Amino acid sequence: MGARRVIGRLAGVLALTSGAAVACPTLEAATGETAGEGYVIAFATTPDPAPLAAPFALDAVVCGPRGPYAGALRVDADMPLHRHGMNYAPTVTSAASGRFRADGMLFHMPGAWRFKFVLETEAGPVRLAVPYTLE
Amino acid sequence: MMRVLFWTLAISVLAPFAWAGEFTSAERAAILRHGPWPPPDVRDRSNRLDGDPKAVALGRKLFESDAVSASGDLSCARCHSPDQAFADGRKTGQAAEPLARNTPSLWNVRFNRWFGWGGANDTLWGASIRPILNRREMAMTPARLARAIAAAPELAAPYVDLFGPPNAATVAVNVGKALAAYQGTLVSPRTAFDEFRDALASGEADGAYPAAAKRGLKIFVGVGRCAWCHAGPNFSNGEFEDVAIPYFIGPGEVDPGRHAGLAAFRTSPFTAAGAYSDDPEAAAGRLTQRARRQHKDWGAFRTPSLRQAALTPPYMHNGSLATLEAVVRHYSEIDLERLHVDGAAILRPLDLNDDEVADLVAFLQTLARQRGR
Repeated sequence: MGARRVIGRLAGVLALTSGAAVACPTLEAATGETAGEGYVIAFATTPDPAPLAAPFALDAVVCGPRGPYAGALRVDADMPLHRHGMNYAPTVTSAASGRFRADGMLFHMPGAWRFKFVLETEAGPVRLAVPYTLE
Repeated sequence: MMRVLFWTLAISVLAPFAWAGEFTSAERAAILRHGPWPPPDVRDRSNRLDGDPKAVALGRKLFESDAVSASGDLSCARCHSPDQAFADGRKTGQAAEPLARNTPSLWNVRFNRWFGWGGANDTLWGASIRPILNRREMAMTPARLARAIAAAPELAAPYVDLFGPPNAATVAVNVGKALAAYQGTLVSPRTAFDEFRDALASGEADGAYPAAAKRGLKIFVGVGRCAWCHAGPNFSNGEFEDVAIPYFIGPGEVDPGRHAGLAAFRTSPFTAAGAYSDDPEAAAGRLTQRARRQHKDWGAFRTPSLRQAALTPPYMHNGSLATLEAVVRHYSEIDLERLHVDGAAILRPLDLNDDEVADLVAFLQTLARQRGR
Protein backbone atom coordinates (compact mmCIF):
# COMPACT_ATOMS: atom_id res chain seq x y z
CA MET A 1 0.00 0.00 0.00
CA GLY A 2 2.94 2.32 0.65
CA ALA A 3 1.84 5.78 1.51
CA ARG A 4 -1.54 5.43 -0.08
CA ARG A 5 -3.62 8.27 1.14
CA VAL A 6 -7.28 7.84 1.81
CA ILE A 7 -8.57 11.36 1.92
CA GLY A 8 -11.29 11.84 4.39
CA ARG A 9 -12.32 8.19 4.36
CA LEU A 10 -14.01 8.54 7.70
CA ALA A 11 -15.62 11.83 6.90
CA GLY A 12 -19.30 11.31 7.15
CA VAL A 13 -19.03 7.77 8.46
CA LEU A 14 -22.20 7.15 10.36
CA ALA A 15 -22.93 4.58 12.96
CA LEU A 16 -26.41 3.53 13.90
CA THR A 17 -27.39 3.36 17.51
CA SER A 18 -30.95 2.88 18.74
CA GLY A 19 -32.17 3.81 15.32
CA ALA A 20 -30.39 7.16 15.36
CA ALA A 21 -27.35 8.05 13.27
CA VAL A 22 -24.23 9.10 15.25
CA ALA A 23 -21.45 10.80 13.34
CA CYS A 24 -17.90 9.57 13.93
CA PRO A 25 -14.99 11.99 13.95
CA THR A 26 -13.11 12.81 10.80
CA LEU A 27 -9.50 12.13 9.89
CA GLU A 28 -8.91 14.50 7.03
CA ALA A 29 -5.87 12.82 5.50
CA ALA A 30 -5.44 9.17 6.36
CA THR A 31 -2.55 6.87 5.54
CA GLY A 32 -4.87 3.89 5.60
CA GLU A 33 -7.79 2.21 7.27
CA THR A 34 -8.99 -1.16 8.45
CA ALA A 35 -12.41 -2.44 9.46
CA GLY A 36 -13.99 -5.45 11.12
CA GLU A 37 -16.59 -6.56 13.66
CA GLY A 38 -18.41 -3.26 13.32
CA TYR A 39 -15.35 -1.07 13.90
CA VAL A 40 -13.49 1.16 11.48
CA ILE A 41 -10.01 2.50 12.21
CA ALA A 42 -8.54 5.26 10.03
CA PHE A 43 -4.96 6.14 10.77
CA ALA A 44 -2.27 8.56 9.66
CA THR A 45 1.46 8.45 10.31
CA THR A 46 3.50 11.54 11.06
CA PRO A 47 5.47 11.93 8.92
CA ASP A 48 3.65 10.29 6.04
CA PRO A 49 5.01 8.01 4.68
CA ALA A 50 6.56 6.49 7.77
CA PRO A 51 10.35 6.97 7.81
CA LEU A 52 12.92 4.20 7.83
CA ALA A 53 14.84 3.72 11.10
CA ALA A 54 13.48 6.90 12.65
CA PRO A 55 10.65 7.38 15.12
CA PHE A 56 7.21 8.38 13.98
CA ALA A 57 3.75 8.88 15.47
CA LEU A 58 0.43 7.37 14.46
CA ASP A 59 -2.91 9.14 14.87
CA ALA A 60 -6.01 6.96 14.75
CA VAL A 61 -9.71 7.60 14.72
CA VAL A 62 -11.86 4.65 15.76
CA CYS A 63 -15.53 4.37 14.92
CA GLY A 64 -17.63 1.66 16.52
CA PRO A 65 -21.14 0.35 16.08
CA ARG A 66 -22.45 2.98 18.44
CA GLY A 67 -20.34 5.88 17.30
CA PRO A 68 -16.91 7.09 18.41
CA TYR A 69 -15.03 4.32 20.24
CA ALA A 70 -14.36 5.19 23.88
CA GLY A 71 -12.46 2.12 25.09
CA ALA A 72 -8.77 1.31 25.19
CA LEU A 73 -6.66 0.89 22.05
CA ARG A 74 -3.35 -0.92 21.64
CA VAL A 75 -1.17 -0.25 18.61
CA ASP A 76 1.74 -2.34 17.37
CA ALA A 77 3.35 -3.47 14.12
CA ASP A 78 5.32 -6.41 12.80
CA MET A 79 6.91 -7.89 9.68
CA PRO A 80 5.24 -11.32 9.40
CA LEU A 81 7.60 -12.63 6.71
CA HIS A 82 10.65 -11.58 8.75
CA ARG A 83 9.15 -12.93 11.99
CA HIS A 84 9.88 -9.80 13.98
CA GLY A 85 8.06 -6.82 15.37
CA MET A 86 9.16 -3.38 16.38
CA ASN A 87 12.03 -3.03 18.83
CA TYR A 88 10.10 -0.36 20.76
CA ALA A 89 6.77 -0.43 22.55
CA PRO A 90 4.67 2.56 21.48
CA THR A 91 2.69 4.54 24.02
CA VAL A 92 -0.95 5.19 23.16
CA THR A 93 -2.82 8.17 24.53
CA SER A 94 -6.51 8.80 23.96
CA ALA A 95 -8.41 11.97 23.35
CA ALA A 96 -12.11 12.60 23.05
CA SER A 97 -14.32 11.34 20.22
CA GLY A 98 -12.49 8.14 19.40
CA ARG A 99 -9.16 9.82 18.70
CA PHE A 100 -5.87 8.19 19.71
CA ARG A 101 -2.17 8.89 19.25
CA ALA A 102 0.64 6.32 19.36
CA ASP A 103 4.13 7.70 19.96
CA GLY A 104 7.40 5.83 19.69
CA MET A 105 6.77 3.78 16.55
CA LEU A 106 9.90 2.82 14.62
CA PHE A 107 10.27 0.66 11.50
CA HIS A 108 13.88 -0.47 11.40
CA MET A 109 13.70 -2.18 8.00
CA PRO A 110 12.09 -1.52 4.65
CA GLY A 111 9.55 -4.01 3.38
CA ALA A 112 6.18 -5.50 4.27
CA TRP A 113 5.03 -4.28 7.67
CA ARG A 114 1.62 -4.76 9.26
CA PHE A 115 -0.07 -2.29 11.61
CA LYS A 116 -1.91 -4.12 14.36
CA PHE A 117 -4.72 -2.66 16.48
CA VAL A 118 -6.45 -4.19 19.48
CA LEU A 119 -9.70 -2.67 20.73
CA GLU A 120 -10.56 -3.66 24.28
CA THR A 121 -14.34 -3.77 23.87
CA GLU A 122 -16.96 -4.92 26.36
CA ALA A 123 -17.40 -8.04 24.26
CA GLY A 124 -13.70 -8.81 24.35
CA PRO A 125 -10.67 -7.79 22.30
CA VAL A 126 -11.23 -6.92 18.67
CA ARG A 127 -8.06 -7.37 16.60
CA LEU A 128 -7.62 -5.54 13.34
CA ALA A 129 -4.60 -5.35 11.07
CA VAL A 130 -3.63 -3.67 7.85
CA PRO A 131 -0.55 -4.18 5.64
CA TYR A 132 1.85 -1.34 5.04
CA THR A 133 4.83 -1.38 2.70
CA LEU A 134 7.81 0.76 3.64
CA GLU A 135 9.96 1.55 0.62
CA MET B 1 28.55 14.17 -42.92
CA MET B 2 25.17 15.16 -41.49
CA ARG B 3 24.70 11.64 -40.15
CA VAL B 4 28.06 11.79 -38.36
CA LEU B 5 27.18 15.17 -36.90
CA PHE B 6 23.80 13.83 -35.73
CA TRP B 7 25.32 10.88 -33.89
CA THR B 8 28.08 13.05 -32.42
CA LEU B 9 25.48 15.42 -31.04
CA ALA B 10 23.24 12.60 -29.88
CA ILE B 11 26.05 10.88 -28.02
CA SER B 12 27.21 14.09 -26.39
CA VAL B 13 23.69 14.94 -25.25
CA LEU B 14 22.66 11.48 -24.10
CA ALA B 15 25.94 10.24 -22.63
CA PRO B 16 25.35 11.76 -19.20
CA PHE B 17 22.13 9.76 -18.89
CA ALA B 18 23.36 6.50 -20.34
CA TRP B 19 24.63 5.14 -17.01
CA ALA B 20 21.31 5.85 -15.33
CA GLY B 21 19.92 2.92 -17.27
CA GLU B 22 22.18 0.57 -15.33
CA PHE B 23 19.79 0.77 -12.40
CA THR B 24 16.07 0.19 -12.27
CA SER B 25 13.86 2.92 -10.86
CA ALA B 26 13.53 0.94 -7.61
CA GLU B 27 17.31 0.54 -7.35
CA ARG B 28 17.80 4.22 -8.10
CA ALA B 29 15.35 5.17 -5.33
CA ALA B 30 17.13 2.82 -2.93
CA ILE B 31 20.52 4.33 -3.79
CA LEU B 32 19.27 7.87 -3.24
CA ARG B 33 18.13 6.93 0.27
CA HIS B 34 21.82 6.53 1.22
CA GLY B 35 22.33 10.27 1.09
CA PRO B 36 22.83 13.14 1.03
CA TRP B 37 26.05 13.21 3.01
CA PRO B 38 26.74 14.71 5.46
CA PRO B 39 23.23 14.66 6.90
CA PRO B 40 21.67 17.75 8.47
CA ASP B 41 23.33 18.76 11.72
CA VAL B 42 21.07 17.88 14.65
CA ARG B 43 22.30 18.88 18.09
CA ASP B 44 22.40 16.35 20.92
CA ARG B 45 19.92 17.94 23.30
CA SER B 46 21.05 15.70 26.15
CA ASN B 47 24.47 17.41 26.02
CA ARG B 48 24.44 21.20 26.30
CA LEU B 49 28.11 21.18 25.26
CA ASP B 50 27.51 19.56 21.87
CA GLY B 51 28.97 21.97 19.32
CA ASP B 52 30.58 24.20 21.96
CA PRO B 53 34.09 25.08 20.68
CA LYS B 54 35.60 25.21 24.18
CA ALA B 55 34.15 21.79 25.02
CA VAL B 56 35.38 20.38 21.71
CA ALA B 57 38.91 21.63 22.46
CA LEU B 58 38.86 20.23 26.01
CA GLY B 59 37.33 16.99 24.76
CA ARG B 60 40.17 16.53 22.31
CA LYS B 61 42.76 17.10 25.05
CA LEU B 62 40.98 14.60 27.29
CA PHE B 63 40.74 12.13 24.39
CA GLU B 64 44.48 12.26 23.84
CA SER B 65 45.48 12.33 27.52
CA ASP B 66 46.87 9.37 29.48
CA ALA B 67 45.75 11.12 32.67
CA VAL B 68 42.21 9.76 32.36
CA SER B 69 43.37 6.18 33.01
CA ALA B 70 44.29 4.66 36.36
CA SER B 71 47.53 3.31 34.94
CA GLY B 72 48.46 6.75 33.63
CA ASP B 73 49.54 5.32 30.29
CA LEU B 74 46.27 4.71 28.47
CA SER B 75 44.30 7.32 26.55
CA CYS B 76 41.05 7.08 24.56
CA ALA B 77 43.19 7.64 21.46
CA ARG B 78 45.25 4.55 22.24
CA CYS B 79 42.34 2.29 21.28
CA HIS B 80 40.48 4.77 19.07
CA SER B 81 43.53 5.92 17.13
CA PRO B 82 43.05 8.85 14.73
CA ASP B 83 45.68 7.19 12.55
CA GLN B 84 43.59 4.03 12.30
CA ALA B 85 40.19 5.59 11.57
CA PHE B 86 39.55 5.88 15.32
CA ALA B 87 39.80 2.11 15.82
CA ASP B 88 42.83 0.02 16.79
CA GLY B 89 43.23 -2.55 14.03
CA ARG B 90 43.20 -5.36 16.59
CA LYS B 91 40.85 -8.33 16.61
CA THR B 92 39.61 -7.42 20.08
CA GLY B 93 40.44 -4.51 22.34
CA GLN B 94 43.28 -4.35 24.82
CA ALA B 95 42.94 -1.88 27.71
CA ALA B 96 43.73 -2.53 31.38
CA GLU B 97 42.72 -6.10 30.54
CA PRO B 98 42.04 -7.94 27.29
CA LEU B 99 38.53 -7.23 26.07
CA ALA B 100 36.08 -9.55 24.31
CA ARG B 101 34.90 -7.18 21.59
CA ASN B 102 36.37 -5.45 18.57
CA THR B 103 37.03 -1.73 19.12
CA PRO B 104 34.49 0.17 17.04
CA SER B 105 35.52 3.20 15.00
CA LEU B 106 34.31 6.58 16.24
CA TRP B 107 33.67 8.01 12.79
CA ASN B 108 30.09 9.33 12.63
CA VAL B 109 29.39 8.11 16.14
CA ARG B 110 27.19 11.15 16.77
CA PHE B 111 24.54 9.66 14.47
CA ASN B 112 24.04 6.55 16.63
CA ARG B 113 20.85 5.95 18.57
CA TRP B 114 22.62 3.36 20.70
CA PHE B 115 26.33 3.16 21.54
CA GLY B 116 28.60 0.15 21.78
CA TRP B 117 28.06 -3.26 20.20
CA GLY B 118 25.32 -4.08 22.72
CA GLY B 119 23.77 -0.64 22.97
CA ALA B 120 24.44 -0.15 26.67
CA ASN B 121 24.07 3.63 26.33
CA ASP B 122 21.74 5.97 24.50
CA THR B 123 24.02 8.99 24.89
CA LEU B 124 27.50 9.54 23.50
CA TRP B 125 28.56 11.17 26.76
CA GLY B 126 27.31 8.19 28.75
CA ALA B 127 29.17 5.85 26.42
CA SER B 128 32.30 7.96 26.97
CA ILE B 129 32.07 7.71 30.75
CA ARG B 130 31.68 3.92 30.74
CA PRO B 131 35.23 2.89 29.62
CA ILE B 132 36.83 5.45 31.94
CA LEU B 133 35.13 3.95 35.00
CA ASN B 134 35.20 0.33 33.79
CA ARG B 135 37.82 -1.59 35.79
CA ARG B 136 38.72 -3.67 32.71
CA GLU B 137 39.36 -0.59 30.58
CA MET B 138 40.68 2.64 32.11
CA ALA B 139 39.77 1.67 35.66
CA MET B 140 39.32 5.18 37.04
CA THR B 141 37.21 6.34 39.97
CA PRO B 142 35.53 9.76 39.96
CA ALA B 143 37.69 10.98 42.85
CA ARG B 144 40.88 9.85 41.15
CA LEU B 145 39.76 11.36 37.84
CA ALA B 146 39.17 14.74 39.51
CA ARG B 147 42.64 14.65 41.05
CA ALA B 148 44.24 13.63 37.76
CA ILE B 149 42.64 16.51 35.86
CA ALA B 150 43.57 19.03 38.54
CA ALA B 151 47.17 17.82 38.32
CA ALA B 152 47.43 17.98 34.52
CA PRO B 153 48.11 21.58 33.42
CA GLU B 154 46.87 21.06 29.86
CA LEU B 155 43.54 19.78 31.23
CA ALA B 156 43.05 21.76 34.43
CA ALA B 157 42.76 25.26 32.96
CA PRO B 158 40.23 24.51 30.21
CA TYR B 159 38.28 22.25 32.59
CA VAL B 160 38.02 24.98 35.23
CA ASP B 161 37.08 27.48 32.55
CA LEU B 162 34.10 25.33 31.53
CA PHE B 163 33.04 23.67 34.77
CA GLY B 164 34.92 25.14 37.72
CA PRO B 165 37.32 23.12 39.87
CA PRO B 166 36.97 19.36 39.30
CA ASN B 167 35.24 17.38 42.04
CA ALA B 168 34.25 13.76 42.37
CA ALA B 169 30.52 14.45 42.21
CA THR B 170 30.46 15.98 38.76
CA VAL B 171 33.74 15.17 37.01
CA ALA B 172 32.63 11.98 35.24
CA VAL B 173 29.62 13.59 33.59
CA ASN B 174 31.58 16.72 32.68
CA VAL B 175 34.41 14.70 31.15
CA GLY B 176 31.91 12.52 29.30
CA LYS B 177 30.14 15.52 27.81
CA ALA B 178 33.39 17.21 26.75
CA LEU B 179 34.60 13.96 25.18
CA ALA B 180 31.26 13.64 23.39
CA ALA B 181 31.55 17.22 22.08
CA TYR B 182 34.89 16.30 20.49
CA GLN B 183 33.70 12.96 19.10
CA GLY B 184 30.66 14.71 17.70
CA THR B 185 32.95 16.52 15.27
CA LEU B 186 34.15 13.25 13.75
CA VAL B 187 31.95 13.27 10.68
CA SER B 188 33.58 11.40 7.82
CA PRO B 189 34.37 13.19 4.56
CA ARG B 190 32.36 12.76 1.39
CA THR B 191 33.32 9.76 -0.66
CA ALA B 192 33.29 8.55 -4.25
CA PHE B 193 29.91 6.97 -3.50
CA ASP B 194 28.49 10.32 -2.35
CA GLU B 195 29.62 11.99 -5.57
CA PHE B 196 27.99 9.20 -7.56
CA ARG B 197 24.80 9.26 -5.50
CA ASP B 198 24.40 13.03 -5.86
CA ALA B 199 25.10 12.83 -9.58
CA LEU B 200 22.39 10.18 -9.85
CA ALA B 201 20.02 12.45 -7.92
CA SER B 202 20.64 15.41 -10.19
CA GLY B 203 20.72 13.45 -13.43
CA GLU B 204 24.36 14.27 -14.10
CA ALA B 205 27.03 11.79 -15.06
CA ASP B 206 29.76 10.60 -12.73
CA GLY B 207 32.01 8.71 -15.05
CA ALA B 208 34.67 8.39 -12.34
CA TYR B 209 32.66 5.89 -10.30
CA PRO B 210 34.13 2.44 -10.97
CA ALA B 211 32.06 -0.07 -12.93
CA ALA B 212 32.78 -2.77 -10.35
CA ALA B 213 31.45 -0.52 -7.58
CA LYS B 214 28.26 0.05 -9.57
CA ARG B 215 27.79 -3.70 -9.94
CA GLY B 216 28.42 -4.15 -6.23
CA LEU B 217 25.99 -1.36 -5.38
CA LYS B 218 23.35 -3.11 -7.47
CA ILE B 219 23.81 -6.26 -5.36
CA PHE B 220 23.86 -4.19 -2.15
CA VAL B 221 20.46 -2.58 -2.72
CA GLY B 222 19.02 -5.59 -4.56
CA VAL B 223 19.43 -9.32 -4.16
CA GLY B 224 21.98 -8.90 -1.38
CA ARG B 225 19.36 -7.26 0.89
CA CYS B 226 22.30 -5.51 2.59
CA ALA B 227 20.40 -2.22 2.70
CA TRP B 228 17.70 -3.75 4.86
CA CYS B 229 19.93 -3.25 7.89
CA HIS B 230 22.71 -1.03 6.47
CA ALA B 231 20.13 1.63 5.71
CA GLY B 232 20.14 5.37 5.21
CA PRO B 233 22.96 7.90 4.75
CA ASN B 234 25.03 6.34 7.53
CA PHE B 235 24.51 2.80 6.22
CA SER B 236 23.04 1.55 9.50
CA ASN B 237 19.51 1.31 10.84
CA GLY B 238 20.97 1.70 14.33
CA GLU B 239 19.41 -1.52 15.60
CA PHE B 240 20.62 -5.02 16.53
CA GLU B 241 20.78 -8.29 14.64
CA ASP B 242 22.07 -11.81 15.04
CA VAL B 243 24.14 -12.44 11.90
CA ALA B 244 25.45 -15.90 12.76
CA ILE B 245 28.75 -14.76 14.25
CA PRO B 246 29.51 -17.00 17.26
CA TYR B 247 29.11 -15.30 20.60
CA PHE B 248 31.13 -17.76 22.65
CA ILE B 249 34.14 -15.95 24.06
CA GLY B 250 35.70 -18.79 26.02
CA PRO B 251 34.89 -22.08 27.69
CA GLY B 252 31.48 -21.61 29.26
CA GLU B 253 31.52 -17.89 28.48
CA VAL B 254 29.25 -16.06 26.09
CA ASP B 255 28.81 -12.46 24.99
CA PRO B 256 25.04 -11.87 25.30
CA GLY B 257 25.23 -8.79 23.04
CA ARG B 258 22.07 -6.69 23.02
CA HIS B 259 20.58 -8.73 25.85
CA ALA B 260 23.27 -7.50 28.25
CA GLY B 261 23.43 -4.07 26.64
CA LEU B 262 19.79 -3.35 27.27
CA ALA B 263 20.07 -4.61 30.85
CA ALA B 264 23.02 -2.26 31.44
CA PHE B 265 21.10 0.61 29.86
CA ARG B 266 18.17 0.04 32.20
CA THR B 267 20.40 0.58 35.23
CA SER B 268 22.60 3.35 33.84
CA PRO B 269 22.30 6.82 35.36
CA PHE B 270 23.80 8.33 32.20
CA THR B 271 20.81 8.15 29.85
CA ALA B 272 19.12 10.78 27.70
CA ALA B 273 16.12 10.66 30.01
CA GLY B 274 18.15 10.49 33.21
CA ALA B 275 19.07 13.00 35.89
CA TYR B 276 22.36 13.98 34.24
CA SER B 277 20.81 14.73 30.85
CA ASP B 278 20.55 18.37 29.84
CA ASP B 279 17.16 17.66 28.28
CA PRO B 280 15.52 14.64 29.91
CA GLU B 281 12.34 15.28 27.97
CA ALA B 282 14.17 14.90 24.68
CA ALA B 283 12.55 12.68 22.09
CA ALA B 284 15.62 10.43 21.94
CA GLY B 285 15.21 9.65 25.59
CA ARG B 286 11.55 8.90 25.25
CA LEU B 287 12.15 6.46 22.40
CA THR B 288 15.03 4.54 23.92
CA GLN B 289 13.18 4.22 27.21
CA ARG B 290 10.58 2.22 25.27
CA ALA B 291 13.05 -0.38 24.01
CA ARG B 292 11.63 -3.88 24.31
CA ARG B 293 13.48 -6.82 25.82
CA GLN B 294 13.18 -9.64 23.32
CA HIS B 295 14.40 -13.22 23.01
CA LYS B 296 16.16 -12.29 19.78
CA ASP B 297 18.35 -9.81 21.70
CA TRP B 298 20.56 -12.68 22.84
CA GLY B 299 23.68 -12.69 20.70
CA ALA B 300 22.49 -9.74 18.62
CA PHE B 301 24.88 -6.84 18.03
CA ARG B 302 24.47 -3.32 16.71
CA THR B 303 24.48 -2.92 12.95
CA PRO B 304 27.66 -0.92 12.31
CA SER B 305 27.87 1.92 9.82
CA LEU B 306 29.67 0.97 6.63
CA ARG B 307 31.13 4.43 6.15
CA GLN B 308 34.91 4.24 6.62
CA ALA B 309 34.57 0.49 7.23
CA ALA B 310 37.20 -0.23 4.58
CA LEU B 311 39.69 1.56 6.87
CA THR B 312 38.86 -0.41 10.02
CA PRO B 313 39.62 -4.13 9.68
CA PRO B 314 39.05 -6.59 11.27
CA TYR B 315 35.28 -6.86 11.35
CA MET B 316 32.23 -8.01 13.33
CA HIS B 317 31.68 -7.66 17.08
CA ASN B 318 34.50 -10.07 17.86
CA GLY B 319 36.85 -9.05 15.06
CA SER B 320 36.70 -12.57 13.69
CA LEU B 321 36.65 -11.61 10.00
CA ALA B 322 39.91 -10.12 8.80
CA THR B 323 38.86 -8.44 5.57
CA LEU B 324 35.88 -6.97 3.78
CA GLU B 325 36.06 -9.92 1.41
CA ALA B 326 35.72 -12.29 4.36
CA VAL B 327 32.66 -10.35 5.52
CA VAL B 328 31.02 -10.58 2.10
CA ARG B 329 31.81 -14.30 1.89
CA HIS B 330 30.33 -14.78 5.39
CA TYR B 331 26.98 -13.46 4.17
CA SER B 332 27.31 -15.29 0.87
CA GLU B 333 27.81 -18.63 2.61
CA ILE B 334 26.01 -17.91 5.88
CA ASP B 335 25.27 -20.89 8.10
CA LEU B 336 21.62 -20.53 9.03
CA GLU B 337 22.02 -23.20 11.70
CA ARG B 338 23.90 -20.60 13.73
CA LEU B 339 20.91 -18.26 13.86
CA HIS B 340 18.33 -18.28 16.63
CA VAL B 341 15.38 -20.48 15.82
CA ASP B 342 13.09 -17.72 17.08
CA GLY B 343 15.09 -14.92 15.50
CA ALA B 344 14.19 -12.81 12.52
CA ALA B 345 14.03 -14.60 9.17
CA ILE B 346 16.07 -12.15 7.15
CA LEU B 347 19.32 -13.78 6.16
CA ARG B 348 19.87 -16.50 3.59
CA PRO B 349 22.99 -17.54 1.70
CA LEU B 350 23.60 -15.20 -1.24
CA ASP B 351 25.71 -17.72 -3.18
CA LEU B 352 27.78 -15.00 -4.80
CA ASN B 353 30.46 -15.96 -7.30
CA ASP B 354 34.01 -14.60 -7.03
CA ASP B 355 33.32 -11.68 -9.38
CA GLU B 356 30.25 -10.64 -7.39
CA VAL B 357 32.19 -10.82 -4.13
CA ALA B 358 34.86 -8.58 -5.66
CA ASP B 359 32.18 -6.17 -6.90
CA LEU B 360 30.60 -5.84 -3.45
CA VAL B 361 34.01 -5.22 -1.92
CA ALA B 362 34.72 -2.60 -4.60
CA PHE B 363 31.48 -0.86 -3.67
CA LEU B 364 32.24 -0.94 0.07
CA GLN B 365 35.63 0.61 -0.62
CA THR B 366 33.93 3.62 -2.21
CA LEU B 367 32.28 4.37 1.17
CA ALA B 368 35.64 5.24 2.71
CA ARG B 369 38.05 8.10 2.39
CA GLN B 370 41.05 9.13 4.44
CA ARG B 371 40.92 12.64 5.87
CA GLY B 372 42.65 15.24 3.71
CA ARG B 373 42.64 13.07 0.60
